[in-house]
Amino acid sequence: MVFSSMLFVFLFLPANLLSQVLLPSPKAKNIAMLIFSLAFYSWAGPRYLLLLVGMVFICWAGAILIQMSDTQGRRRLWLCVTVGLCLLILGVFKYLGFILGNVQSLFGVPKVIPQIVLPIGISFYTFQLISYVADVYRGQVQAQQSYWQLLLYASLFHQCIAGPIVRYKDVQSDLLRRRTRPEEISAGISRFAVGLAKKAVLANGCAAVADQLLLMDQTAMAAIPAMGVLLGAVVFTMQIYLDFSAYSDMAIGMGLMCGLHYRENFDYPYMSGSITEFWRRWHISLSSFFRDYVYIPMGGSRCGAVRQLFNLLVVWFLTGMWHGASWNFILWGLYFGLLLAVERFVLGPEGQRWLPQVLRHGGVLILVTFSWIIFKFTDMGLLGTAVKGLFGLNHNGFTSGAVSLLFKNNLFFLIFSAIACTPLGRWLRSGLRAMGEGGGLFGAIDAAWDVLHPAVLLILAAMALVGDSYNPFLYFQF
Amino acid sequence: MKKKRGPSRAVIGVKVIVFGSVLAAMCILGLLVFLRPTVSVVEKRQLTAFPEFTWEGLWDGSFFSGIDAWYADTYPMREELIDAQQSMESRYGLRGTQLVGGSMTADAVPVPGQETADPNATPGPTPEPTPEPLPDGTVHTPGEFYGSIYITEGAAYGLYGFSQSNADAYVAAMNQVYQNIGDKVDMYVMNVPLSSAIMLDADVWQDMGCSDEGAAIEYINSQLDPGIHAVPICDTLREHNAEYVYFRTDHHWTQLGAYYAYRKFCEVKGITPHELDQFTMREFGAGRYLGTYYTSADRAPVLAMNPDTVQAWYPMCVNANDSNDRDMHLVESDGTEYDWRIINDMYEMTDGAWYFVFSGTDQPFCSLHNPDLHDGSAVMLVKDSFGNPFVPWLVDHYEYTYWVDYRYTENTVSQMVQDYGVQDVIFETATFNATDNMYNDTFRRIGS
Repeated sequence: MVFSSMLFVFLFLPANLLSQVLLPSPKAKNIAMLIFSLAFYSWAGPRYLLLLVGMVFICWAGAILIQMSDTQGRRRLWLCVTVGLCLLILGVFKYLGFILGNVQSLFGVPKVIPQIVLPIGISFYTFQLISYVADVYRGQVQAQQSYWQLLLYASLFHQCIAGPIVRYKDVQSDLLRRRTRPEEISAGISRFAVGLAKKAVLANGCAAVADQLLLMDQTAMAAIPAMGVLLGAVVFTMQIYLDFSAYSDMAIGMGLMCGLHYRENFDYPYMSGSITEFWRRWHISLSSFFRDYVYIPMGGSRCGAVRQLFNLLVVWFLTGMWHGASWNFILWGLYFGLLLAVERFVLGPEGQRWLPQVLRHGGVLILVTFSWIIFKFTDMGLLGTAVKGLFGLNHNGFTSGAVSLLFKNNLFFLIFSAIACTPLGRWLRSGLRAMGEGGGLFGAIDAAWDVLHPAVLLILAAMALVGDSYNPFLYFQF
Repeated sequence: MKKKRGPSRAVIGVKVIVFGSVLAAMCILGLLVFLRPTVSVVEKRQLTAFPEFTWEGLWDGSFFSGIDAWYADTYPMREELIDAQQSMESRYGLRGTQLVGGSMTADAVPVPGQETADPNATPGPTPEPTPEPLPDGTVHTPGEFYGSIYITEGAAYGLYGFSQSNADAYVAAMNQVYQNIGDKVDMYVMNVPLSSAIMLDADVWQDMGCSDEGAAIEYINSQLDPGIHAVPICDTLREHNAEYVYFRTDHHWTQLGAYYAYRKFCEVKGITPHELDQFTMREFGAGRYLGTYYTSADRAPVLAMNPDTVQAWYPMCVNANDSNDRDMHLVESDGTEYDWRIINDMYEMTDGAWYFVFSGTDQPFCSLHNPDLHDGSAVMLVKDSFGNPFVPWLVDHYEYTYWVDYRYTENTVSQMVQDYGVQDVIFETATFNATDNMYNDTFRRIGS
């Protein structure tokens, strides 16, 4: 099940919210939330549920054993065993086919590559569980004695299958004794409605345009002129942000409605003035995971330049791998690793400041847009064709009537989508609120906006979802 | 420092009530199963049914995904919600001109007589001018782009992509049919172009990157066995493109378009065609017919504002005034047989289905006996849906007319020719079908 489906929005969610309102105690609410979460996860097939339940059991037992161990050596042993098992399971389900495929192409063996279906959300909940076990090892949280509580943490349907990667310490107290405040319910309603409309109307609309220009057929892709590839890349850049941040908006919004507080996962990343800043604003829960559990333990920046560069490339190799078992994702990760290395070791803070702000922002947008082309095409041949097309090397001209028409047909929509990628809406909202503080006309407009916009967005999303067959979240594949 | 203020408790209360009410109303609406539609008239399809429960489906998740699909596809008021969405999307940009769907991918069309295709080849010879030129209905203005459907001036046009290998496979199948049926039977091949090749200025469809469908037909005809009579209808249709020869909202031609093709057939065969005013005409779904392009173009509002009318001409050998008269016979895919009307004026149809009035629609086998002729003459039309409005023009020239839809028949043409003793075989194929790999096997099978 996905958040942007009619069944979820108009049946599953109301039932879930009703259970959270009607049930009296935190324990009863948690039991209901667990049942809803397991049902949500089972929707793609109960067989995947067994894997989730099993991995939670490994981490639950592993964390208790770490906490019970009386020597550092044993604590480390249990940490390695638990994390190793999690990574092994993730590796088998996500990377075994890819690794064997590469081995086969090099050495001709094995003859048959097992076709393993990737369980939904495995990358997200595996990282959540690893962060929990590591935090117990570090003494930052107490091991959860109740298996069911830990299962609830890992399976919480708000974030289980497409993030954000929630740390146990961030929701630990909410799971035990949460209370919902009216202001948070209000903020949660707005956040959820904005996220839903962002996904159903904007992200899916961008996808409809991008999919006509970034094609999955070699011959067809080679026929797209340079402006077409560029337009496709720009629209895909908007799509991937609107899509992924929408999911996080909905997760955060639903959490607030239920008294669960998740950290922000996006902070208008396309406003960044450097690649380093971009990764502080994009998929924050993932980049902070790699920072806290991989980069810093490897020595981080407190070591020599060569070692720092090595650490950086390892982290970005892993970041690429996390996104998918395909060479393009590894290339994409290393591309960012290289850019970050250039920023840190070549330009330095002074070098970056030397550039005018508009050039820095423009440069980041160009580099990030190019990165999404690498990200888009898992077929390396197709990727090569798209990159050649971007630079007009497919010998099919600069533009075409079809590309111009597609652009004109969606001009206002694309402008609106571009604005939605910036904080302009938030600034306008803050301005209206400030003007409305004294009451009067602006106060009335502010109140009317606050009351009506979630309901209007909900109806707009329903309109888009009923007739829209294109609806998967991009980040489901991870 | 001033404390940041949020909305008041009263505003929050009203907001929760409003949002909760809308959510609850949509939830309750979704639970009213009896309000759920089962058919989409506009999309011309059965909506997704509730999935049948199986343990296997439960285990692999297909049962649940089926529920998801059913819930969304049959949500009460879906048509109204979709219309509202399309109305909103029509304001997404400058849509006096639109293109819907994916970009065209096509092979270059080879010029007959040249071994390899030359992308810079000059167009073929210009047809000789007619003594009294008919009004030119060619559309020059830029239109709307709906993927592979181009929309302009309130009409939709499918864009054509040529495939060399599929065209060659089609030609091989036609030549095989000719070899099998022998020279005692006259074989005619008529490829029907999409409206874009007839109605649009060449600059427009070239700019959209689609293939020259007229050149594709010329290529096919040039590769046919010399014993096969090709019926080239592109120029004929272009001469009449100021008339209502193609629907605006549907990918088919009108029966008037089929009439001009019939005249060309008569010219090739060497017989005199009947004049249009000799037939009785009736209109169906006047100003209400929204065809396949309307659905494919995501219900483009500009098409809804320009609905079609189906004009149907009755053959002279049938009783146009008695709707109870069953003049033809049809056999469905499951073997069920009916006596039917060649112009189906017996029943009211839904507004999206008026093209079904012609010739019993797409069936494995249909026949009509002309009571006015007693010469034993027989023709077999092997056709797709474009052949349906063509049949009524044909039946007055033969005592027996048989028509089979190549997509549904399981017999070979040579066997049917032998069984029914026909003297003429006409292959009518939409060019986009002839050059699509979907029917390679079909043509090979019926030609064997």
